[in-house]
Amino acid sequence: MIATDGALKMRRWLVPAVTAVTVGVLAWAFLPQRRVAQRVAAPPEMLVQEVQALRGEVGRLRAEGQPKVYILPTTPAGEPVATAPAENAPSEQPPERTPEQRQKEAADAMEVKFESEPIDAAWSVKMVRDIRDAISSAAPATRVLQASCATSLCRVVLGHDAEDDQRGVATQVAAVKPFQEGVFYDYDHAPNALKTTLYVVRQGYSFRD
Amino acid sequence: MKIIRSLAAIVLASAAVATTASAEERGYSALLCSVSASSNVVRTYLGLETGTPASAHAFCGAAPIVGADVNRIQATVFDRNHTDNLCCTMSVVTADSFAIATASRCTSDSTDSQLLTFIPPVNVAGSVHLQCTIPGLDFMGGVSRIATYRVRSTP
Repeated sequence: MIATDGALKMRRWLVPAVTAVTVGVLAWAFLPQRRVAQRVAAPPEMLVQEVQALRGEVGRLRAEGQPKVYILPTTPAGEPVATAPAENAPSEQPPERTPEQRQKEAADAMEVKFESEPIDAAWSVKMVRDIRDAISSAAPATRVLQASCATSLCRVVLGHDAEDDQRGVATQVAAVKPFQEGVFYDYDHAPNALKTTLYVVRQGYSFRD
Repeated sequence: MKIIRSLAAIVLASAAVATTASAEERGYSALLCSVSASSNVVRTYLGLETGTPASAHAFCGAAPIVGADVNRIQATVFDRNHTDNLCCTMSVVTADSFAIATASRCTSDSTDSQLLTFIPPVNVAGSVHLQCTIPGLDFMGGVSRIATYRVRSTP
């Protein structure tokens, strides 16, 4: 086989060119950046699956890390107490108050209001006298244990011998002059020490001022 | 500008709805009341009236939402007696029949429609009672009457 001059010239030029191209292709194929690029260019389904798996893992770790809430009902001694964790218990909401508790809170607020008022001495002395007189005539079965007035309120503590007397005291005094403007009643049902505290509002004032 | 007006209208309407939802007022005809001496009292479409010179007592009741805070009791009355007033004792009562707030209100003069109003302190009501004394016919034949009563409460 005889090579022409042209063919020889071409072969001399082709060898370095092919070598350079081969080296370039190999370098491109084995470079680390190329691998990263391939990973980034991975199909989106794979990424979605990966994210979902990670989310599941985070959720599982969170659930394990949360403190368990146990509700311990107040049961008489000796009775078994439920210890199951209350997964769905509303831990942040306070328990609903009973009507008695709410009424007691209203009475406490009235006491705070009375205690915080300054004393209008001139009005207070006369009002206490009127209240004592009114109770003795309108509710003779009732004893006045204490009576005092501030500025807009008077506090009167009454003692009773029987529950019927305690229940009926409001009916007896409501229409009598010192009590006409308004009275709030707080009952103490302690056996053998029945007491009712009356908060009497002064004329021209309101309970909800 | 129109958008701002529309938004303001929506806000006002929401506030009105919220206010309406938080407080409730129930009105009752005085015809629902019982009376102490029925011979003295005439029931008309206007309410309870005295038909003789003798006065009469009427007992009225209302049942707000259980455990609600009754914050106003109001009676609409007519006092046409020139010497005696029409008076109502209003009570907020617990579920076990203990009065927790009382007041007594009387008409101030012999005029047409008057409102007798009691604003009780904060309470947990079971029911509301009114006990009213209606003066009898006076020498000029004036008829006194209880027409309606209303109870406003907040659940």
